[in-house]
Amino acid sequence: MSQETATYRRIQRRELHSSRSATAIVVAAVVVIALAYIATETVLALAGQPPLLVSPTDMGEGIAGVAAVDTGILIAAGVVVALIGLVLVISAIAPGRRARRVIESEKTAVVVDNEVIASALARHAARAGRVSPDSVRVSVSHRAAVVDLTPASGMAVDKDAVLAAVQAELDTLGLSPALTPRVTISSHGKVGA
Amino acid sequence: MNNTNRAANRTLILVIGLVLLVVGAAAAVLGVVSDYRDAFTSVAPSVQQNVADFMDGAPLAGTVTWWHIAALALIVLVVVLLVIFIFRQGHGHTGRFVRDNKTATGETIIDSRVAEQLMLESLTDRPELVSCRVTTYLVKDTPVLKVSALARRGVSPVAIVTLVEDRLAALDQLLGSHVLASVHVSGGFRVKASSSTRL
Repeated sequence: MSQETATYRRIQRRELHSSRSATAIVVAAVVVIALAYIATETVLALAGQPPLLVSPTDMGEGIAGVAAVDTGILIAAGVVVALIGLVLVISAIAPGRRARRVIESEKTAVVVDNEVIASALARHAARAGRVSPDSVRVSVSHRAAVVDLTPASGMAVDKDAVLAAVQAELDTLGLSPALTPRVTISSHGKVGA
Repeated sequence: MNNTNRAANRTLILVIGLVLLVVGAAAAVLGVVSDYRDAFTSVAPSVQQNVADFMDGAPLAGTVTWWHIAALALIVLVVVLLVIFIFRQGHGHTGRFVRDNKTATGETIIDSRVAEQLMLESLTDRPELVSCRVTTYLVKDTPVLKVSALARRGVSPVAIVTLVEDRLAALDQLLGSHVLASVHVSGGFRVKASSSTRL
């Protein structure tokens, strides 16, 4: 059984985080194109043919003489390249969490999108607040579920009842990480809702 | 739940990111600090000359040297490795669901398609689900059924999980072996049941 649990843990961990494969494929493809270009120029230079754009020797001299370039352009280009590098480093290190969470279950590895949870909470909140499902907006983030409820004009909404209903639904879901519900009732009602 | 090597993905992104960060920062500093720029201007041409001289050592034929060949070989090697890396992404599906089931009289092999179709058939036309997809992945050398369900609006995910687990228990019975499964419940813009009723 522990073997099965370990397999399920692995599946859930991988489902909850981005694989970064799109970024990795783009980076690898760009490097491949750059290297293929350098290789082409090298072969052309060795065969004594005119270069496509720049010969390898000119490339080397260009890099060596880069300090002669206008400082404004140099700084701007440097900052842009460094920023791209920074974005890549951050995406390599950041957890890359997806908007999903685990529902604890003995038999299977269950992963549920946050929007499904939001939609289920919205239905329960609408019922408890006695408003139309379209008057409830729920957003689920990593830790909190925020329920925004717009009452029908002239009808008071029992905030505690809504909160209790949302909490009860969260309890049956058994989510990991758990969600803290927060209910806000809009001060302006909606006519005919 | 494919077998993409995620550590490799992140390592490649990290290495290229660090290279770009260092090169970009160096170029920017070159533009800002004049002392650094002067030092670079005095040193860089001789370094470039040294590299060029080094590449022209060990001649092979005419202007071609062994170092040119070595550099080209290195580039080709890196390109091949990166192309393999790109095409290694994803994968991990398996066609066999039950193997190694040998007895004295023979062996039973069950294709993944059997389990997938049975599972899919038992989940179609359920009011809770808009659609459903079943695939099989190999996780730690064990075939695992992956059930991806698109939930209808407002349906409790627990109801869907209970439904799927119920059907899995039936599948266990049918196939005569314990089935490992992962369930992914998603919702999307297609999930709205119908226009809301107004009274």
